[in-house]
Amino acid sequence: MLYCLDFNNECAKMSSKTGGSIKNQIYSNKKTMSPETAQTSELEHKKEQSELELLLTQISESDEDAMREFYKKTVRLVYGMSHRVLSNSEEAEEVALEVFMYVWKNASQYDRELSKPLSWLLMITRTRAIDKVRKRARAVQIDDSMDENLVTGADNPEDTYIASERRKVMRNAMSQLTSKQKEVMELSYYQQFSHSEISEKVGIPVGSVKSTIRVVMVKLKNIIKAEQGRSYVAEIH
Amino acid sequence: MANKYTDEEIQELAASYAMGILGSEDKALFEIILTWDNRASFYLEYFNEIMEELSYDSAPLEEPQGLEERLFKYMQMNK
Repeated sequence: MLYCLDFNNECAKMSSKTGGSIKNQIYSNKKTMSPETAQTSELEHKKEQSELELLLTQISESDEDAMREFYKKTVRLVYGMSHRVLSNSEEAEEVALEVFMYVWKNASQYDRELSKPLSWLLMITRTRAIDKVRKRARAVQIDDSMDENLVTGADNPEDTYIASERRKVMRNAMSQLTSKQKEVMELSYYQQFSHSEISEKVGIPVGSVKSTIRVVMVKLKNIIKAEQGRSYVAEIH
Repeated sequence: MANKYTDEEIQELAASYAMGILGSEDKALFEIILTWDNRASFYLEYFNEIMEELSYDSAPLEEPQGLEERLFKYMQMNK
């Protein structure tokens, strides 16, 4: 069967039949990355994801070496995300520690069908960091903090080339959102407010919040894929 | 049951599920839909990929000194 997400329209289309995994991605020759680089990047990324999945399985069996490797592979991202939300080094460190403690005790709860390992880990990180923000009852600053992050999140020399390229693409994609879309993304992704909370804060109906989140995410994907020089057809068989 | 939800409704649920902001009722509902509607798992994978990309929005930072030691001390006590 063929599921085809048409990025020129902001909705997904699919034909019938039953599911499976994504089989094929077709690369076109646009800008930023060559098709070969994009393909290499994607393959390396998938390999890394597989490694993280395997490590989580081993951690769930109390494998300390696996935990050490998982920590080394992800700590900078976890700490970076935590710091992004908290803007405080000490608190960000505490959250990072809590996150890895949680992984050590709860790796078995990771479900590969529901999320990718890095998404799972960073969702835990965001949730914990946001809990801390709410506990200290800091006034929520929406304004342009997302833009600030795009500027202050300067490239770290230790970043891999691919991670650095992905970040540039992501920043560019973010910069193309409208201010309302940025605001909704800030409140949902970085602050994890519920639909109704976002509705109150932004002043739009709950239904619009839901559709905005969907539209923004598809838009981001659309921009990212275009930036990475790919058209995208996912074939499921 | 297959057409109970429109594509758009399932996409909205999948997007917010991936984002981690669905309320408990909607979350439970989506997890049920996942068991019988193939569109749900497809869209969830699609939005999870975007979440993956979003993680690159935050710049990685050098790990704080001593964090690893603190973690492994905890692990020793909680084997």
